[in-house]
Amino acid sequence: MRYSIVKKMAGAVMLWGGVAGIAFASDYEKYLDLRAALPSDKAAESLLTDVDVYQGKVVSVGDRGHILVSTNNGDSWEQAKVPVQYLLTAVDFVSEQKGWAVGHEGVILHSADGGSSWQLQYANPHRVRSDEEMNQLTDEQFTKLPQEGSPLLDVWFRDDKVGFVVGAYGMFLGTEDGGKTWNDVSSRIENFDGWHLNAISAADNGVVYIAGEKGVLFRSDDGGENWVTLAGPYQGSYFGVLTGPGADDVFLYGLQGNIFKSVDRGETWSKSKSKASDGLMDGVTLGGQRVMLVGNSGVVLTSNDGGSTFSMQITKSREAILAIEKLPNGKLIMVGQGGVQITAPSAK
Amino acid sequence: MSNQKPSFLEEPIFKLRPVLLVLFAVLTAFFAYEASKVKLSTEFEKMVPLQHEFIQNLLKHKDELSLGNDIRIVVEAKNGDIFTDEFLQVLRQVTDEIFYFDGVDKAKIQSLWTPNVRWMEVTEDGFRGGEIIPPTYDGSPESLEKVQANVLRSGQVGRLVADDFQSAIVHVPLLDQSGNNKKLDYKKFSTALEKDIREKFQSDTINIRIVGFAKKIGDLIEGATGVALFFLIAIGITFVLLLIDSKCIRSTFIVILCSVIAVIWQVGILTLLGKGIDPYSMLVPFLIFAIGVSHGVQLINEFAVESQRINMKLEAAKLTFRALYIPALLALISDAIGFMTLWTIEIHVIQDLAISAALGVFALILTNLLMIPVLLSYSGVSKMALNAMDKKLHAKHVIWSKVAKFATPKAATVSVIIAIIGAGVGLYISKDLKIGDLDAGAPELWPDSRYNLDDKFVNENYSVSADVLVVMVETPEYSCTESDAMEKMDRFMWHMENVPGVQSTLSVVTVSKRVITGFNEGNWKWAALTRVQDIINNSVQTVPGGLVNTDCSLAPVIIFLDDHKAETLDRAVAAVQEFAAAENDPDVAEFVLASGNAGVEAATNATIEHAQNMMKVLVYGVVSILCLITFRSIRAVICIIVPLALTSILCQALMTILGIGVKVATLPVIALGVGIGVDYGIYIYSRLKGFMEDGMELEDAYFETLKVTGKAVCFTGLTLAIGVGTWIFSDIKFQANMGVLLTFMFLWNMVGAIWLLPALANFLIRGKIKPKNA
Repeated sequence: MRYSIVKKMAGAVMLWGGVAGIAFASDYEKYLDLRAALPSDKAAESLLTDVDVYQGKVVSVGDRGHILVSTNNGDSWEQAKVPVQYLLTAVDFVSEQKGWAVGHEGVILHSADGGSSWQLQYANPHRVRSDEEMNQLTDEQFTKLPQEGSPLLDVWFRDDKVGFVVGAYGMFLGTEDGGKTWNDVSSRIENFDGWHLNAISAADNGVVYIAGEKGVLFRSDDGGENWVTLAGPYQGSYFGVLTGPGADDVFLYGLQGNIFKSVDRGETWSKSKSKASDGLMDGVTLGGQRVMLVGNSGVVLTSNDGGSTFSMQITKSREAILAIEKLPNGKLIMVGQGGVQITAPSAK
Repeated sequence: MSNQKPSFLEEPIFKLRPVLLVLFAVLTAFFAYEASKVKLSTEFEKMVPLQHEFIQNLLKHKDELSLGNDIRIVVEAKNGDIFTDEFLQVLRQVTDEIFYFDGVDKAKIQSLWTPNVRWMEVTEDGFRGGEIIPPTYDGSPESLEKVQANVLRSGQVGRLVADDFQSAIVHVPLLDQSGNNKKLDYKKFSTALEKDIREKFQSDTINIRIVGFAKKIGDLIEGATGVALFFLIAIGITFVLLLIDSKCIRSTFIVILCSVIAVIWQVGILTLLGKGIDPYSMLVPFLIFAIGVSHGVQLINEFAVESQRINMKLEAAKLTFRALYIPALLALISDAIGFMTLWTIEIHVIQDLAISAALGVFALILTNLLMIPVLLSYSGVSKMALNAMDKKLHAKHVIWSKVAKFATPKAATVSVIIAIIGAGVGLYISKDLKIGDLDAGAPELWPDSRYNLDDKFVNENYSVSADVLVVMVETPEYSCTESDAMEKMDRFMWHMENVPGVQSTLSVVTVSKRVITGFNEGNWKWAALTRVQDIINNSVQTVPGGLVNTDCSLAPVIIFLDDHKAETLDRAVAAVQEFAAAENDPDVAEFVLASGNAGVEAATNATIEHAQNMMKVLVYGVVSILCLITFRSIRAVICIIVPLALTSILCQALMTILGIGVKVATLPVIALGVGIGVDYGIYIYSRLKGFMEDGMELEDAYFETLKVTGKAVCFTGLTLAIGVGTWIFSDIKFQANMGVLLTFMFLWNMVGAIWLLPALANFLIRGKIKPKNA
């Protein structure tokens, strides 16, 4: 029912989206706390939310503006110069040099020197408004009020020019010039209730997925320009999307240990078997039929059959794991509540 | 020695001796009655430096900061894990049993069996939860599996359940007042815990461990009470030694009796003054008894000498009094003044120690100096004692003639060189002397005491640290969770977490972040402090008590530390002060030190560090002036004080080697050691000077001195050492520390007086003291 109304409105909103993307984000510097992140020995042991590996380089982001860079498979970390202290939630590198990170208060950061230093490209901080100012807001601005100060939750760049960022309350931003300008592209998807968009992820064949709260799920077959809404298998929240191991394979996972697998670009789904009951946050394919998923309470799931069944392990610390990646040396890096953990992939 | 003029007191004292005896008996009975009412006090306020800024701040917020007077009972499965029906039944019985204890906050007891401990999970439809052990539990494998699953999702691992699942905790908050509006009786409570919990439930398969302030105080009281037994042992040993030395049961009995009476007076007067005895001032009766005995020895020694000459008990007693009342009075007064220098340290227990020690010394003036000669005038000494004394006076004194060589120029040079090297080495070692307590666990008790082993177990298996520094964040009323204040607190916590020795921090900000994460389906990407006041307000609605006060003007930040070593505390305190200096803003938030055990210890350490040099200057100053007044010679002062100083230096080196820090318990040791140690010097120097004035050369004068007082000095050192030496075996660590150090000081002061004093005399007074009337 909602779907039909959504369709009618889509055209009109799309128009607005294109022109008014960052219409009221220009005053952000006034409200943004521009204290630079503090160097800390504890950065690698405190909350980290995402990790990206690009060739020999490992970059992880997390609490208090921490961005850590390792060129030796995580043996040691250099802390980057970052202009803010907000909790960062995701990072993506498109080359040895260029990468983007996003986080709370709608910050988008960019590095052009391989992660050593970062510049602020965009922010959407919480603004303190008088009653008078509140009254002057347009309806559009009023509905988007919850976005202010809320976190952006994931970032994906197609190349060093075109990239997308998704976040809380339906935030969906895009750039075509490497982040010099950011536009609101939320009109490209049918998310009129403004559900949180938790993850954006692309397969090798250029297919891109966005998954979020209340089972919202979108797919783009053209690198992010046009999106279709998929009827997902689940009404709860997805925290992540993982593509592979097959070309059209895709996993959805989220609340309560739910895992779903599709082999046809998300058209049909089957539920994978696992004992997990905690939220699952991230995954990685390890070649062949091996897939790993990680999540809250230190849950680590491993599948050797392409993701139909998973066996469960729980780390000793039971701290949430938010991201997992393969390191150049074949080991695995996991980051989360307690910082960095590096493990060898368990034997089959 | 007996050619002194009689004092104006002598005649009335001995004339009225029956009246005096009755008066003393009545007074003693009265004080004994008072002393029987003495209370053991372990009040928190008495052990801390009340004037220190940290403590002032703490007391200002005392009622608002209910930072948990609680105990934790650990039920440990010796074989296997907690997920067995047998274990869970014991856990239930323990939970039920503690429920009926007087003084526990029944509604807040937490264990896997209590309904206030729940598991919760975020589902598609919102939150879902329940009791950990559901009402349908029947001990079957299926229901045990359910319990296990519930435990895992309850978030209680590390809190109520050990990380290794081999033990579980019953957490018992205590009320400040028990049922009938009386203060909680820690001793009774602790005894009940032992009897009705530990003894009852400990078995081949179950271990019970109990930690918490109430248990610690209970153990402390128990240990302190055990020390009373040591007092009897010290009396026994002293009695035997005295008997062997004097060969007279009558005089031995009199000395012991009078010294015990002095203790009764001291405790009686304390009680009259409304003071109790605490685990520190408990040392005082031992000291008073030992000082009493040591002066008593001199008195019966002198009495035996006089009795040799005149066969009249009354006359001999008079002469004894006449000969000794001045040096004894001087020694006792210098003891008392030495003790009073401790008054400058603004920690109640130390000041109480000073008062009660001084009181005891004044009691001794009456009970020993006066009463022993009076009693001897009735009793006399045994024939055997007189024979022994006769032998002694005519013996060859082989040992003393050798000891007397210390006064020869050659030996003196070697001795002084050794002393200088000893002082140098001692100073070098004591460079590393630490302030504060150095062991893990409750500092009052031994590291391997049952309490500290239990405490260690909890530290290792649960996510709690025993060493806690609390910073009080003061804000305007109703503003403690304002976004600006929270933001400052958040940054403050990270600032502190980066200080070496800090494990983690906890405050209302932690709760806010956790709750916001929970609101967002447990997604840690949301675990940040928001600037949106409405969301903050929502997130802090169910903040646990103690993290904000009732009018939201105070929010403590709890900082968990690795240990309570002074360096750790110093670093943490400095980091707090640095942040406070830069960020304190009365309109938003001010960061104020300090509470928590580490806060109290930081304040105590600061006070002690400040006081220790001041106290040394004072105590040395006072005894030096007393010596100067008595002997009217700087040289005499040097001869007497330098050996004491060497002992003090070596004592500090010993502390460093034994890993004993300067703390409330050990700070008084130097003052006590010097105050009492000066007696030896005074006795020896005054005799030495006397013999030289009679025209003797230094070596001969020293030999004569040793003949007369050498034995008494050694005996004094020994009795003092025995008195405090029994403390080494105390269950309470700081009492044992005091025992070790005082024993060392008393013995070394004796050695110093006999060995180093004549060596110094060789350089300083040889040929300087002219015969008075040749």
